[in-house]
Amino acid sequence: MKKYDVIIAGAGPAGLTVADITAGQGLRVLLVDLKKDIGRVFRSCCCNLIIEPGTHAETVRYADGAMHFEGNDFSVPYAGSVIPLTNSFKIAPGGTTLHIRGKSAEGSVAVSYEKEAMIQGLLARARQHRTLDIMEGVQALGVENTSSGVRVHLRSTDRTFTASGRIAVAADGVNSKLVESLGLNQTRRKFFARFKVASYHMANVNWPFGSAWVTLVGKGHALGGRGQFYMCPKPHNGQTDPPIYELTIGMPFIGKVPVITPIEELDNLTKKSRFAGWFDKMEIVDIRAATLNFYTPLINPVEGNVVAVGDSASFIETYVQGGIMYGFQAGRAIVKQLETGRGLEDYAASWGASFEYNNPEEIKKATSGFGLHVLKDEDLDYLFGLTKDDTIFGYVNEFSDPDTVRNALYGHIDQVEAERPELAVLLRKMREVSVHDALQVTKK
Amino acid sequence: MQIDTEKCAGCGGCVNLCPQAAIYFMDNKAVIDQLACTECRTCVFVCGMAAPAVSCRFPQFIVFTERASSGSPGRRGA
Repeated sequence: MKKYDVIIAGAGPAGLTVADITAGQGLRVLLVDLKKDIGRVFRSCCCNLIIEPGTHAETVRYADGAMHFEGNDFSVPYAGSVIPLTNSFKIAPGGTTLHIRGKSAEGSVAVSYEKEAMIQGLLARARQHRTLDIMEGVQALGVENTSSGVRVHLRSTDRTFTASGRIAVAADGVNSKLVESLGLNQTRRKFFARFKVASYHMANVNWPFGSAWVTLVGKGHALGGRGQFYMCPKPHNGQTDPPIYELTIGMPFIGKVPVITPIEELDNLTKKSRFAGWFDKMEIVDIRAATLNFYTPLINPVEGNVVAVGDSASFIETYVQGGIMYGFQAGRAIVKQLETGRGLEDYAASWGASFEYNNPEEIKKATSGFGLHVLKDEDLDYLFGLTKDDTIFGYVNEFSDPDTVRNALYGHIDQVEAERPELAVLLRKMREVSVHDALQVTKK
Repeated sequence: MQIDTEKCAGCGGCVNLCPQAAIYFMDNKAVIDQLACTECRTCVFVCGMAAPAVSCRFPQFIVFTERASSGSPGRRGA
């Protein structure tokens, strides 16, 4: 097999972006992916563009058939549709609701978009480069640093083989084999739970919220007493009509303890819950799934001649747009590295500088809402009820959203103090919880 | 273990998490190599679609037959 300049494992948003940048500079690039159809998406994943300016030190805007990354000054062709989400509703088990409005210029909290269209746009552009070889149906099992570069161990259903190159890119996602094979997961803190996730795309939903992002908060929504439920309208095959809604169900589980499955939760939510009326005539048009291992982000995403991008280096914190943005920076760093012998440290530095989870202030913001799940359902109902006449602005963004919620609830601290003093103590404590406390709870 | 491909969404989670690397991807569905599988059940615990299930590995090798001497059903390996 010929020797490549760059071998990329994983053709998701991050891997495709690296392939596009590096092959676009004439480097010999091999891109492998487990799937037979790179342009298809079978995994549950973030379905929103996080539009809060400055997320990952980047601002993303959709306009004129492309996604524009303004901070890094590049664009990705996008032929799908988008739905700007103008409101975010958090619903407590008793039905009270915390309403967050969009404060962006467009009045949106986020933008719902189609990941397949993004992937296909990236793939089409990358395929134009003659020096790019793509192997579909090939899994990367591991990678080794050698004196002259890297060796990547690959397999398809009928053979096992090795590819040699100068630089390898681990873009193989949240359960990355390459990061694991380098032993880098030993350097990360693992959260004690894993998540089983399923997403259902539904037609004919009696959806009362218009273009909104809806989160069900609290224990009482889930049959098994814990879990996460998100729902929003979603463009489908470039269309927004008829409306399709995506319901994502995430069930945490610890070790090998059997849990209630997302399938059972779906049945409960759509047939027996207070929301059953939404789903009277509901028809499921697409199903996606995922398994998530929770690791804290890699502090350094470069190990020898191996560069980690996207979820392989940072779980879901990068989102799709972050995967693309870091893929862009990694691609440019690799080109520079192969030309001049230095460059990968640029990528590591940009990661460290822009990545929220490496910034103590950002962690503090994100973890300040930590503790919402320790509130009893009746407390959540009571607290959300207090906010019904409030006008709260914010974004769907895991970094700033907890802060928004915390501040909204804390705005009523005097009333809570008078009516439910013990809850006021909890609310104050929630506000003071440190990053250290938060991480202690997630210790393995 | 075997995977019910009707239930499998094709997310690839078990493929990457199988400690024996016994799970392959064929036609965008997970398929378990029956000789490499050690029945550790990792795939069962990680799958959100409840697609993997414990099932007899070599059902075709197990044959029920009538024993002439006792008349009770017996089992014979092929």
